[in-house]
Amino acid sequence: MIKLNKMANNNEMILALFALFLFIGFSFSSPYFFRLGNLMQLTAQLVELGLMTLAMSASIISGGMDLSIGAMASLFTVLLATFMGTMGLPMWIAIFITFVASLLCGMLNGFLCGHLKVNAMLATLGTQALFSGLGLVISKGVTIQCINEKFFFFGQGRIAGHLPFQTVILVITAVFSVILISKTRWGRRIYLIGSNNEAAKFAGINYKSNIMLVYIFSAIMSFICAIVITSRISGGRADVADPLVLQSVSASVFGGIAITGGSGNILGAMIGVIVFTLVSNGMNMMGASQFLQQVIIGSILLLVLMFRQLIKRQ
Amino acid sequence: MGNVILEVKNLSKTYSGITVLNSVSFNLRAGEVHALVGENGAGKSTMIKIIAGVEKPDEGSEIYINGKRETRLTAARSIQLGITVIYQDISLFPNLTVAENICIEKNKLFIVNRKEMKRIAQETLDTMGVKLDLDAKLGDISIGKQQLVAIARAITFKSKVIVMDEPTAALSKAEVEMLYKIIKTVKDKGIGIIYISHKLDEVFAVADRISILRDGYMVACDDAEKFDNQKLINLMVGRELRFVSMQNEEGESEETVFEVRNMTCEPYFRNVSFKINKYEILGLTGLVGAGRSELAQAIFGMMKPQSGEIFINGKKVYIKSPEDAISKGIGYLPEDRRKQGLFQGHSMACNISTVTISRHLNKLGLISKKKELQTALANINKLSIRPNLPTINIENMSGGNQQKALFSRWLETNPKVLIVDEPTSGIDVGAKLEIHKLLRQLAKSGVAVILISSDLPEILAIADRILVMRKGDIVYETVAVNATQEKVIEKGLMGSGREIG
Repeated sequence: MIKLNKMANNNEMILALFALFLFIGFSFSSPYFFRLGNLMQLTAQLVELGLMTLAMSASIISGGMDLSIGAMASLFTVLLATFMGTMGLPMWIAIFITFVASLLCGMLNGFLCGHLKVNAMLATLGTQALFSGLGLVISKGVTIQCINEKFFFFGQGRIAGHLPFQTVILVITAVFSVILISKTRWGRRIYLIGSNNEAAKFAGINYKSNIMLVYIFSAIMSFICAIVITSRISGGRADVADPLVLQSVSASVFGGIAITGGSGNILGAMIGVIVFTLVSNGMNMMGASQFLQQVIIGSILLLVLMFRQLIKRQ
Repeated sequence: MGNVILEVKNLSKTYSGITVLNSVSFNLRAGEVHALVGENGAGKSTMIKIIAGVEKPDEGSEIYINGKRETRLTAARSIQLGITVIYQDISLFPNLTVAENICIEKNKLFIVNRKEMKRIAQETLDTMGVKLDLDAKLGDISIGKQQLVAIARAITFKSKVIVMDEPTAALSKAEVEMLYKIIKTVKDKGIGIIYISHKLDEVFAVADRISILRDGYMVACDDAEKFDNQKLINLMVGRELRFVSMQNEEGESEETVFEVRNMTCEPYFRNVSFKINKYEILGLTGLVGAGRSELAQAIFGMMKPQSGEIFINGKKVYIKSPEDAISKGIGYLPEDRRKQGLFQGHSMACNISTVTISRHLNKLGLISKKKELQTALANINKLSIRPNLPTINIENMSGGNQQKALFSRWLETNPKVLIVDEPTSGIDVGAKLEIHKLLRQLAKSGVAVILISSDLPEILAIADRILVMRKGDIVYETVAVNATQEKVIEKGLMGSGREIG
């Protein structure tokens, strides 16, 4: 019993060991897995889900849940593609305008959840529809092409011929986020708000401004994700990031972030992303079907949740 | 007195090597009130959980219900055998009506027969002599009335044993009187009651027998007449302990450190003015709902008063939010420790550094774990918080120690004014005394302390001046040496105007 308890405290350690176990397993079971080319590909595959999971984790920790991140990221790909592809604006100007748009989207979510105290899931369900709709209207429902040589570097570039540039983006963003959420005053405060909002009020923690920042943070993460996607697919589409939303919830929860808010940490969520991506990449290399991957990922998630529940009971 | 309906013998319980109950024996007869008292952590709750079938006792423990030995008591079995536990935070359904809550166990059929349900509920309430609106939503009625609903439910379910865990913690004086009456009718039906409380006067008011637990041992069990206040306390804490009065010894000071002038916040309170001189503790009492906590919250910036001025050390301050209040040197230890104070799942250190987090940063402006631990350790030493582990999850500490940690949170802010709202509710006698000493020390060091409490002996022992509120007005102001319990109660119940005495 005591052993199990100790293990539960070392959540990230266990998950990391699990990821390592998967990694070694795949290396032995597929001849194509443990090769520099595939390993580099693997790190690139982490990026989009990773960025979305950073956004999702922060909102879940604060006691809410930002369901609009997928719609936001998709809308931003449409904006980037429209500005650069259709309108032919210079890259940095397109990026800047889209960044401002992301701030506005985040502020709208923050205003609804923080100032008006609308339930976060409902508020972002609403804005999700709004952002998706905007994306569809602007793109007329089709993929907008975006050919810009310089811009391709973000989602297709390789450093020293091997290391994908988007991996670098994820690593930098993730390190920055871990520091932001677990080491700054703002980070501490959103943990406390998520843990006990009422007590946070009595401790003089400002709900409105801290929550506003949470949703601005998730909008900026969606924006970074949109840059990577737009560059990778050389275009923008109004539903391109939608499937990532629920996956990011799974990865967060898998990584130990409590769905009720206030506990867990981003590092765990990132390991969750690694496990999910490993399974999907490794099984591809073994020639397993896409559908089977879903079954495996679902089973792993359920097993971890059951295991945690068992520990909790003891 | 009836025959024994519940008996435990040789009851032990060990959690990962720590013994919390040690060969305890206890019995309950039909139609008696058996009070179970002891400090926090004495093992009362564990014992109740075992009787309720929620926790398993160690090997060799014996539990007899209606004379039959129960070897595998589960929660469902316990309920089926007629044992009802009314927990501190009531386990009713706030979205259902009063009638639905009372008859919840009766709904064995798929179809709910509302007429029948209301008839049964009304019948039960009649036998208790209580009037309640059957169609009211449970969440809309007072906690006192909810407690009555819980009892009615137990009667409807034909319970043989009712366990009440601190039933009066959230009740007003009038509601407590009501509860006493109902306990009497419940007793007359032949139901046995186990009554757990920290408030000794209550225990003496209702109990036929008293059992005392200390550190997991049953140290005494006898008829209530055989005990008196002092004896009971000695048995509970195992040492001589008196409810010491701790009035100001620094002598009078004319220097006003905190003042509120004509503060009104309708509909909660109006025209409230008071002053606190240096070295003074101001006691604020009155019934629950008299506007005491609202007054505190208005001073702390959580509510917007329509009018009123606040002065600290003679200087007028403007407070729009709790952040403002904190920056001006006002601290507020709220009433409900669990809902308004604690961050459960977080460490003691994190719960202490909450408000002063800006002082716990390193050179880069990031939170310094080291500084947080240092602060926690300093407070652990100062207030003798147990266990002395800054990293312990605050959930796993006893109520008294949690309260000390929350005190530390505010002490760290070096407040000029500290408002403490029911600071000793639900904590044991020993910790109470330590908190009283702490309040006195603070006052001595020049902090204006406002003590809000329903516990009159506490107010009379600690406060230098007493304000009594009733329905939002201050009806009585007196210096503590002139105050008597009777007078304060009388004013709280029916005072009007403002009497100074």
